[in-house]
Amino acid sequence: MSVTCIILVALTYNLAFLHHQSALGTTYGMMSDHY
Amino acid sequence: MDQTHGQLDGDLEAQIAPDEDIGVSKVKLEGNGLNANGGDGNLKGGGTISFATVKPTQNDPKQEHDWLHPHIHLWNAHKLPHRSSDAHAFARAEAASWAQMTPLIAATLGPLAVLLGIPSLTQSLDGQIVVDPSDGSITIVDLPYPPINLALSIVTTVLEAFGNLFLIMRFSNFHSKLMTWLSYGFWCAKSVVGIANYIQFGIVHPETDDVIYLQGFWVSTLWPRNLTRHRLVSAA
Repeated sequence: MSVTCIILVALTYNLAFLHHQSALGTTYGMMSDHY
Repeated sequence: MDQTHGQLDGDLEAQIAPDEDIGVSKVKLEGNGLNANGGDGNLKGGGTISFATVKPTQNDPKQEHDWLHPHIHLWNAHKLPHRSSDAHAFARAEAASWAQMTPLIAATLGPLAVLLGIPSLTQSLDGQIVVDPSDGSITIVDLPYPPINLALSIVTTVLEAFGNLFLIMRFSNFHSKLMTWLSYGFWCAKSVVGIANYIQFGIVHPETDDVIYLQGFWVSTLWPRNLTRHRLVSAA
């Protein structure tokens, strides 16, 4: 169960970042310094 | 580093000055949804960029749209927040790095979770302490696996397997975001069923002075056993 909790935290972070990234309209390699 | 960064920005700005280095006087955007703002959705639109005319031009005050920097007028008017500090850039790069690492962490620990789930199915959850009165030796006799807990453990292991399967498909670039969400859902379901399993077992079959939990219980929870040892002490 502890291992599952770590997996859930990792996937939550990943999905949250993907959501934030799509909101910005950028990708991992396309992060503007200005906006 | 600020100076270097500023110098690079200055060079870039010099290169895009309309009457100096770049002689593009008119840029035509074709296709559905493609604009200079970029973005994933726009790239999927299948549009193309064509340069209608390429010739040296003078600075045209009517040409307000800068396709390289569509919001540069807001930036020049100081209407956008300045977030290009080194600390901000470092934090952003760190966040992106973790976002790339976290699926790898999940994919590494996923098989471990399944591996730990197998002995929780095959080993007994609890056992009874039997003391031999002749010599005082202690023997632990395995108690039978309750059928409802066995069924819940099987469901838990199947959910873990599906969570792993969708993680594998995610790393195969097959609908990455959807597969990540599916895997996330199965791991959440596994947690709910697993916790329900242990709560039910803990209520119906509690530890007493002569019944203790065995490896089949602890291997899947990975919960430090000494945190519950006080129950044995208090019951004794």
